[in-house]
Amino acid sequence: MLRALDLFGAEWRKLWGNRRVSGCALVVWPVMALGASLGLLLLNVLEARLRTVQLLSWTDVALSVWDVQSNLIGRVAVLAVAATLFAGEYQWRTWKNIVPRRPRVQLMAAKFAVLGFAILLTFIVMSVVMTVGFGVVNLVVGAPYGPDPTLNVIGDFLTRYSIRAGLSFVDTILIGAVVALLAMRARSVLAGAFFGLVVLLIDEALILILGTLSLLFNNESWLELLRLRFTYNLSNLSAILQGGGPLAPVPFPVTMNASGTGFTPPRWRPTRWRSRR
Amino acid sequence: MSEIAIETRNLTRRFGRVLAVDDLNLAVETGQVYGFLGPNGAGKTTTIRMLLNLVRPTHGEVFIYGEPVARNHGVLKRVGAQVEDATFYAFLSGRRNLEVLARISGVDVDGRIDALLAQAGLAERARDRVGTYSTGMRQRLGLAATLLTDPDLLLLDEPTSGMDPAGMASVRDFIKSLPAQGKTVFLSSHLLSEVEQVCDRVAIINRGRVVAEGPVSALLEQGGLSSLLIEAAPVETARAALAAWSPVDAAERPGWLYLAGAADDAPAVTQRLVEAGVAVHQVVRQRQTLEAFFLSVTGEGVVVEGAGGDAPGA
Repeated sequence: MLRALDLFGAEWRKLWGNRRVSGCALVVWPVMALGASLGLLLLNVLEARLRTVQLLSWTDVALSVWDVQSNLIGRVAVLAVAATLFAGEYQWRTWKNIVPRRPRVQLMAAKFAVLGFAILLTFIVMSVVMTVGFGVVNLVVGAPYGPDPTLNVIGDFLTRYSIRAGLSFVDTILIGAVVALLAMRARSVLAGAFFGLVVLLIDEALILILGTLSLLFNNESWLELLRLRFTYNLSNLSAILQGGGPLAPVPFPVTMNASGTGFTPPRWRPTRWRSRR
Repeated sequence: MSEIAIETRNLTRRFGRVLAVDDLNLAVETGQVYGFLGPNGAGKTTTIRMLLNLVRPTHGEVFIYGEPVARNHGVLKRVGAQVEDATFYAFLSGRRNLEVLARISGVDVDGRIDALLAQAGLAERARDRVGTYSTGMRQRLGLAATLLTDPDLLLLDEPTSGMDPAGMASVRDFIKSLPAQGKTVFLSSHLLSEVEQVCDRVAIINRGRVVAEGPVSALLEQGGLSSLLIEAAPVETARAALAAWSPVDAAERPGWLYLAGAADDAPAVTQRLVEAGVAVHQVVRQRQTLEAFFLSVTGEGVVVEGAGGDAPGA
């Protein structure tokens, strides 16, 4: 166990010691939260009318950070860190120093752990900065910043916060796995991050692509393939864990298969295709 | 009988159509400084990478202290290695680099790091980023990293590359001191004079195969190339007097004659010259260098050394 922690510590030091990456991909988030708080404070001081729109609760502010993490911009941080962790050793030709010292599986596991915890720590710090910062703004302008921190409120908040943080960790590891494969294949930090971004964009664009195919073939079951997106699966898991039940893969009705398992393979309909032409 | 530190059995590595290492069989005993020589592309670095399990052999196996490396990664804890040039995390300090490597190795060496940095002459620059180090400083940090876990076996690939003469001499002295501590050194170097000075035994590989292997002294005696260099006047009279030894003019040394394979004939040669009334200024017994031997066995041609010898003959 201690040796595993040693390995984690080594990777942790490497990541935070790389100021360019840790600064641009990690430290920047809490700094942005501080900037947003100061900006909001300045606007409120300068413009009295804004004071009427302070309707945020501290719980929503704290939780909103995880929406930032799970959108495309937030995931760029994951891409940058993952590409650095996994391709950096090849780019700097330091892999030959470390591989004889530990089995490859342990080295990889430590990199995944550092990736997950670094992202988690970054966004936890960001949420604290933002929650406190917005609180100060509300205090200065005299706006309410509820709900009152009763035991029930705090318990409910911590549950929701833990779920969102846990899902963020899983999201990070999933994206990290994709980037690790690409980065180690390319042996370049930049190429790893770039190809990772391409995969994320494809994941986002699948709604459009499969929607178009569905219309083209007049077959809604194409949309069922959206269930294969990891973004959908994470959202689905999030919805289930937060008690809302499973999500439909797209925000409009689709044909469900009879078993209710959720996936219907697309069917080729040559007759319709020909008739449409 | 000494324990075998490194053993390779039919070690072969193919990269596509290129056979980088071909059926390599080596045995390095503990306590030896073993030189590993070969021209560029001979397969040295590929061999070292297979020894460290960085590259998997296409065929054959590597054993370190009797344990198969591919199936027992743990045996590499006994090995300290520097493969090719010393590379580090340029954004970390020298000290932090060693700390990171120590943690990866899973050993507690905090007290040792300062000592190693001092030994490497880097104590004053320990807190500077490695990106600001010269090549020689990185090489010295590489040696310190190699010794971090106090290994029994050191695999060193061009350890003095980029160092100044004083640094090279101190590294050579350091390597020579290691067998006394029970350590084994596997040294790959292009500096043949360095290998000749520090190694007990060498293997020379060419195109992935061992073309010569044995104690340095034995290899240097092979081929009968030990020679005499003679400075005499008049040189034409000397040439006629020594016709039995087929003398040739020494390259780059006007007025000198070169007698191949005649190192043991120094007294007879001197006597013949004196009898012929030739003024003998110098007779130098020239020992074959490892470089000459290396070039002869790797098919790169034979070098006739024009300078330096181990003892004057008369």
